[in-house]
Amino acid sequence: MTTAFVLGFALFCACWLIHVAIWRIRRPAAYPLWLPLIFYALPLLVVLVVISAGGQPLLLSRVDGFSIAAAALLHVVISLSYMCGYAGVIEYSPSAEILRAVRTHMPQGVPLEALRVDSLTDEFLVGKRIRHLRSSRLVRSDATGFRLTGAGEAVVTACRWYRAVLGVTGHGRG
Amino acid sequence: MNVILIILVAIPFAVVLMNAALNRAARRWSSLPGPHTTPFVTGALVNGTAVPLLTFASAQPGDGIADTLFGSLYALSYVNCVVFLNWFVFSVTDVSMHVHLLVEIHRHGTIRPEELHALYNKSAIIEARLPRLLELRQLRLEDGRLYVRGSAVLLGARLLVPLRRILGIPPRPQDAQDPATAH
Repeated sequence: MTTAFVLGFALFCACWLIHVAIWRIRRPAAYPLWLPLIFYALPLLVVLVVISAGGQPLLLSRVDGFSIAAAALLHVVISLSYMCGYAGVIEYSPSAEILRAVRTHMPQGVPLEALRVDSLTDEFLVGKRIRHLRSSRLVRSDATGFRLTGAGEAVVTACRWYRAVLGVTGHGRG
Repeated sequence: MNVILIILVAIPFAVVLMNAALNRAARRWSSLPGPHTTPFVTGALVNGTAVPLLTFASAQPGDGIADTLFGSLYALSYVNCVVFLNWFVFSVTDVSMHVHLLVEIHRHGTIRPEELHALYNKSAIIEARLPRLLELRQLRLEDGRLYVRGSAVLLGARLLVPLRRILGIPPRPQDAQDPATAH
């Protein structure tokens, strides 16, 4: 497992450094496409190039197949965790802003009805997200208003199904 | 060694099933934690079972302390990434504003922008989060006043600031609302 851990972690770190380098040059808006390309497609491409160049026997003479498979699994879950967590990096947490707003009133606390979270606005919270949904083609807009596309309906259905599997009723409050 | 690979592939399914069992038990016995807490309980249970199992299963005759340590590190990293993903996917279905907007539009079929804004806006978003923060013990409500209780959410938010700086992302929302720096 030593080889698997070192290989898997090193692979993630290498991909992460490439991700940082690209982001510092120009941060792409289509990060849901770029991140999987960097963390999954790029290593796969490198492996294919190595194999096609006849490097496979050399690689397997140094590292056994089990370690490669275990390293790949570790890289997959760490990278997936990072990509999911990235949404929390660029989408500021309203919960954290609420807590910061309450903290400014400590130790005396703040009345529930007097709580103000000035760091967040309707446009920043909702308007921006509507634009994301439209540019992702999950929502379309016409003279009658907003409606879901087929992809948008699929997302809602997938969420409902997953919550049913998890034993959680209804939809969340957002 | 194939057994280890089978265990690794099985862990995500076990995590989801364990979380589902806890949620169903919580619905039956209301004294148990709610759906925002069960992912963490699941995480604790999985760490207590899968990590020792993996560490033990991966141990080879002649392994030194360093090999055992790396085996444990592998198990801890893998299991806790899976635990995080389990929590994350549930959170997306429950607290994601994107998903909630999709659900509201789905409910209405077609909805005008002003109607959508009346249903889901900054106030609604804050109101939805207060019960969760109380359940997660990040806030305390006493005599109609809110107090900060826990620090986990704030610590998590603080940890993201250096990562944002490394990636060239504005560290706080008020910095990102400047169009020159917004994503």
